[in-house]
Amino acid sequence: MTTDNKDTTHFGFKTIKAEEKETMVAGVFHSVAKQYDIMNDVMSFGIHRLWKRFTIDASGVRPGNSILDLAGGTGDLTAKFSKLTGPTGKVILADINSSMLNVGRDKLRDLGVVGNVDYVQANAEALPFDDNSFDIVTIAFGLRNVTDKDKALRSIFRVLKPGGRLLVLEFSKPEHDLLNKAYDFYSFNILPKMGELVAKDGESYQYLAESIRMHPDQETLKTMMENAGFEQTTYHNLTGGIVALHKGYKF
Amino acid sequence: MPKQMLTAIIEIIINKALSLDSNITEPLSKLNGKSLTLQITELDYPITLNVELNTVSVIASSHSDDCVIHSNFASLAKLKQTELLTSLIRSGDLDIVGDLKIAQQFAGIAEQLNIDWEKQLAERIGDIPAYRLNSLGAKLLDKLNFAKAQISQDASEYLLHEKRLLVTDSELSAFSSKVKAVELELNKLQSKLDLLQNRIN
Repeated sequence: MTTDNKDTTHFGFKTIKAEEKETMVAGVFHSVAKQYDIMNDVMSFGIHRLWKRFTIDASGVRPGNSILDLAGGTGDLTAKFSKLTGPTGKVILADINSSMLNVGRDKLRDLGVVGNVDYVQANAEALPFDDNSFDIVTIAFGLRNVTDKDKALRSIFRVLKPGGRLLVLEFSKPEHDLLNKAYDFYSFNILPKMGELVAKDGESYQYLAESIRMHPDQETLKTMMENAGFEQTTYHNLTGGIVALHKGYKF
Repeated sequence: MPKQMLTAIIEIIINKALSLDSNITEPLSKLNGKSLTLQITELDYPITLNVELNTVSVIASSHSDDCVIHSNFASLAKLKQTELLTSLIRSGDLDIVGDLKIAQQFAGIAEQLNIDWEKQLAERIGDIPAYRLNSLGAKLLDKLNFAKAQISQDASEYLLHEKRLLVTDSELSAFSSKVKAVELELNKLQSKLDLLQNRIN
């Protein structure tokens, strides 16, 4: 799904060499890291907080769980998981991008979240963790930036414990045509201008809008998860399908 | 996502209220690492309160290994009255799994919460306006309480004496004792009848 053939992949609407995507995505996130939280609030009108709450509620987190917050960025999910899993649990905030990881680490330390959180710079396609390590793996708004999504899903499957679950929170395809059109208008006309205005970086937000359109729709992602070995795979549309939460178990 | 919105609002209110009372930190710290799950009949999802780092997280899923309460809104309000716990459990309106002390500690925090509203207001609008506003509030509250008591008194007098829709306590107890007297008479009569029946046989 991710690569058109072995050598090329998508970067927004552009087709580029697969080995270039990682560097180009890194460029985008180095550029937006410091303004990431405020832009999330501005762009989604704060609704991203509810999407993330929904993910926490659906995760079934228990005290003592070990959790991997992959592409965890500025640590919104990690902050919550850290409190819910408590001192007997462990949360690893992993991101491929050092700038995002630094912003996340500073933010969580300021919030007093320190005891049970580790920070790891990691590529989702080749996770540097032992097999069967985590009860929960989440990847929120990160999978679409991964070059080889199938490889990433297989890597996540490997590090999950049997009985563990993966939650993928990601932009998806709106369910209704009218919403789709309004969303398209917002994404390509308003969002890059807001990016320019608030983060002084319209290009990165143009990429964001394009990468969302190129990301697999709900059913395709569900099939990809099943192909990677996940079972009882389901998804739940949020805000009319603008975002979907996919969930799958490893047994 | 209405339930996520609800839990987000509850979480903000709880933590804001807790931050306004400096005396609550100590009892709250005893609950660090503890959680309470409420399964309310009227809601089709559980609500969990989890305390960590002296802040409360509220999530819409079952999370607690410490204490789970199955109940309804009406019975929850009665939880403070410990003498009612047994009857609530017997009637099936309340079921507690886990450590009841945790639930009582959570309830204790809610009861102990004592926010100095005048101080909070003074920090925002200044001492004198805050004092005046507080005095006005207190006067209004007095008047409201007086009006409430007056209306309640007038309404009961109207229903008792004007409309005669209700009976007074003394009328009710007189009626009850008459019923008891009739019951006694009946029992006596029954005994006499039984005696006569035995003689005939």
